[in-house]
Amino acid sequence: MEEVKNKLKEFFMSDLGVDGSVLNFDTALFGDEIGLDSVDSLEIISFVDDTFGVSMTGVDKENFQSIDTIAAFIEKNKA
Amino acid sequence: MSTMNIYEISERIAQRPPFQMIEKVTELVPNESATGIKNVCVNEPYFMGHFPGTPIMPGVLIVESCAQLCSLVIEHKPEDLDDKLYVLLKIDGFKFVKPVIPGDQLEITVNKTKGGGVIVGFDCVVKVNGNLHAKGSLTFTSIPKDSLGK
Repeated sequence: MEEVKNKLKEFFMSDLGVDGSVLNFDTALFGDEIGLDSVDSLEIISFVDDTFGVSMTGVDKENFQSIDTIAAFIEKNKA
Repeated sequence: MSTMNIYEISERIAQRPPFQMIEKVTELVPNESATGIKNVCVNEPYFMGHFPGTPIMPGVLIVESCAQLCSLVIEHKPEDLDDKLYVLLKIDGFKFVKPVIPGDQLEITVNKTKGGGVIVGFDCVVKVNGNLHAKGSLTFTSIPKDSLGK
């Protein structure tokens, strides 16, 4: 689980330009602080699909709240 | 690897003059990469205003040329074209290293870097006479046509 979270954090920093110093595993990704948008959510879906083989297309937005919730969804749904 | 002339290109993309910005495809590997040509002519309408007496091809139209070549690389299922449209989602790190002027022949190369699922990404390089004039990355997604305007 930690490995999944670290890979996600690395992706947010390198591909989505998020400042790692304010990004914790429970930080709200789409709130005021990080401020991701719907274009970023498509990039997250693509990264999770390519990296972990888990499809997040059409899943509830609660699963995208933080690195914690995305990692939990991946753990629950990976083959 | 295959090639395409203007007639074959027009069968695959919806854009038409004066907004058709790839005239020949010299190399095409479906879903992977392509090299295409755009000849830049002084008669193109945008040169009237960009700029009067000093024609320079607008950078956004160089990006559009790259985008049209990318759309030729993405393989569509025929049934998808009825209800889906591939649209530009993101432009990253584009640099316009040297101006493009009438008489230049753009040799554009695009290579797919990610996707196949919800998004498709490409690295694009634009050269004239072998010299780099522009480069950057483009990302596309598909949307349902019936979602437009809603």
